Amino acid sequence: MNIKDLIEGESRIISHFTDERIGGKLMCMGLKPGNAVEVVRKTNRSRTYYLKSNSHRLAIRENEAAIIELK
Amino acid sequence: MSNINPPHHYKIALLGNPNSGKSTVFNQLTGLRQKVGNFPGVTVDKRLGKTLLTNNLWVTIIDFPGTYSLYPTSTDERIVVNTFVNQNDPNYPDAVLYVADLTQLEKHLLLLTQIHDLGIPILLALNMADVAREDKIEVNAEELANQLEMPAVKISARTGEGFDELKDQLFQLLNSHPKKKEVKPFYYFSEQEKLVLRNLNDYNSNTGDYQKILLAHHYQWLNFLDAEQKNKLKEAVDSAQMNDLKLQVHETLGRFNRIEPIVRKVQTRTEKTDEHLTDKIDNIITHWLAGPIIFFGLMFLVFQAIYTFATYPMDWIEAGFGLMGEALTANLPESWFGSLLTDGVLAGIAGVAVFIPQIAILFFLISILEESGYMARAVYLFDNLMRYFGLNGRSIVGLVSGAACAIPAIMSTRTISNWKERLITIMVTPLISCSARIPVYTVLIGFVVPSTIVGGIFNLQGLAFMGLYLLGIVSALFAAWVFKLILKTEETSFLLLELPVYRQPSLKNVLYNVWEKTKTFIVEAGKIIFIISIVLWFLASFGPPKDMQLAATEVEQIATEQALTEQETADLLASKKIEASYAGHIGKFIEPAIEPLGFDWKIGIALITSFAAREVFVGTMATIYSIGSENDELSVREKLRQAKDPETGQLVYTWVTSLSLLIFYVFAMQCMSTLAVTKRETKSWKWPLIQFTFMTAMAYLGSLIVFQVFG
Repeated sequence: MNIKDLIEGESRIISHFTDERIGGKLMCMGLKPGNAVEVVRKTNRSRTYYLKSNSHRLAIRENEAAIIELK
Repeated sequence: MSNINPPHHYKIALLGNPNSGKSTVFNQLTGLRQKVGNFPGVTVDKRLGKTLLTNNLWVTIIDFPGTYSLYPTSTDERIVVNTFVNQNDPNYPDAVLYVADLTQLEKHLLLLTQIHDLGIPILLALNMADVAREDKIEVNAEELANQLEMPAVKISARTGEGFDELKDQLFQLLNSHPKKKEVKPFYYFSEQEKLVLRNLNDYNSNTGDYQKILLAHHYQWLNFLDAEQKNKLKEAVDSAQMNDLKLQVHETLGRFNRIEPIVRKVQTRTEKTDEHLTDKIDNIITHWLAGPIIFFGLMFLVFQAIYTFATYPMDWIEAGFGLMGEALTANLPESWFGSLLTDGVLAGIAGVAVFIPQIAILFFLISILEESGYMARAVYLFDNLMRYFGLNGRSIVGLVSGAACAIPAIMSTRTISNWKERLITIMVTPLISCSARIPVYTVLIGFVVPSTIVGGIFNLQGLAFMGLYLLGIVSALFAAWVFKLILKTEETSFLLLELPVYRQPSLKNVLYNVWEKTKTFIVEAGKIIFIISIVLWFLASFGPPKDMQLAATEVEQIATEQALTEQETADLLASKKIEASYAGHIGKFIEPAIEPLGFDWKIGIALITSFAAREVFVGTMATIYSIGSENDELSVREKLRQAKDPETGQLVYTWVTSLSLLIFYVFAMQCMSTLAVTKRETKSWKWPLIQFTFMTAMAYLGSLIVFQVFG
């Protein structure tokens, strides 16, 4: 399962990224495999995601959300 | 302390992640001893400043763009790599002052360890010590310094806490590590990286191992490498079958695997049970319905604030220049020089100065929204909508800033990594009504809409104003949508945006920002407006001698025949002289083309000069209507209102002509500085030319329709 399968307020542990380029960048921004991630919000029709992992808050699009595989 | 060689001037690079508080540190260190330049070959702002360390040592601080890692995804980040992997770069530093956010230590240490492996001496500034205390995060700086084998100081850039020690440590660092040093690498290379290094064994001996790895990753776009070096790197990469992305992830994970235990060791967090303030605010601000309502409410307040607060200083500036003009006229003998000074030079300076309050207030408010962390939320909220028009959530920053001035707005698009989205943002931003259009709108709306109150509170003219802004926004989105259909790209678009914790904006940062932007406007736009005012004065004051003589004789004749008063004769002479002047000739030449839009040759002159900078319009009209006339005390608006066609005796500025002119100014690309910035940012003349053409075509068509339908 990936981030897109979570509903608002739900959180899971990140297992890995299916795209290395985006994954590398996400890690630099504080989103790392092994850490929990929460979907704080989704915009209308789930096209943009507001994520929180530890104290890091990020906004990403559905395509980027789809590469974050969860445990 | 004496082994620092005094003639050497030390360069310190200020580095850190975005949102680390780096700019505040820079302002705190350098105060007003700073200037803005460009990094070579690109238009990324380079802020330079001087600071005084212990023992009377002045050093230069270079503020680098906020960067997450040495694997860049934007132009801004590439600057850092380009500088730090090239010892011959003019900005290559003697030492790095690395700013890390104490409250998010782990993430902020990634780039630090990369810089460490390049062998550059580093002083670690652990910023936001005050916030960390509030959040009950304790960090043992001494232990962290031991673990990372570099000096570390806790500071708070906002309060100035720890800066004496920071300066002292920086001095010590320069004293002990004046040269690049051999370091124990933080990251252990993979087998594949070791293979690449073996292949690069005979590469320049001054190049360190990690530096070689970075060269191997980025050689294709590093502009300081020559063809031979690039070939060598390519061979090494190809023969090792180096997988760029895999290695990048391997390195990042490897570094974090070492950073994590260090941070665990030095940091204690007392878990807070209550919800973080940022989460509480975001519950409302990022809400699908409340979010956009708050955004538009804020924008409405911003524009209201501009009009409310800017009116007074603008009136003072206008009155001040009025008094100066009168004093000059009274004290100078009547000559061409006096006329040049009052009608040319002074009018030109006044034209620039009068915008200062509006621009300063707008930048002040936009800076506050950016500094507080709000703008990032606006990006999140509008990304979805923006994508529909081929734009990016980040475009909202450019479009909002475009309401002040398209120049910094276009420059702000550098954070958009997708080229197509960035290009479209650049192309349509000038359609957002900028502050330079305000005076034109103000003068002309008065001729179209009466100043009546509707619905009890709304001024009709104010609503018309908002209507013009809306027209600008709608046309920008429409143009973006058309560009989206035309432009093709293979590049994938993504959004990776940090939503920083809300912070109280630093007044110092905001004021420096306002000062910098306003100064840029005064210097850049001011130069053009000033020159144009003088050229205009010349073109409107002089003409082919034969024509000028003819005009004078004609006026004399009419005056005698119709027994005109002295005043009437002077007015007639002024109007005939302008018609006979060079400006008149140019205006008449283009008159056939603009007649279908309802414009006469006088408006034609203003249109031509407005193509350099639209704010010149009112000034041009002032120059055209004031030269030689006695009625200097009348405001431009009054002069325009009273302007009559000398042949038909009808008013020039009928409501339909004014409306047509308004529409023209909403759409037309009338700013040389914007075109120059578009050229710089797109690195080609093609895009500014297309921008100029499509906007002018929209303006012409819009005005044509208005005048032909209503005229």
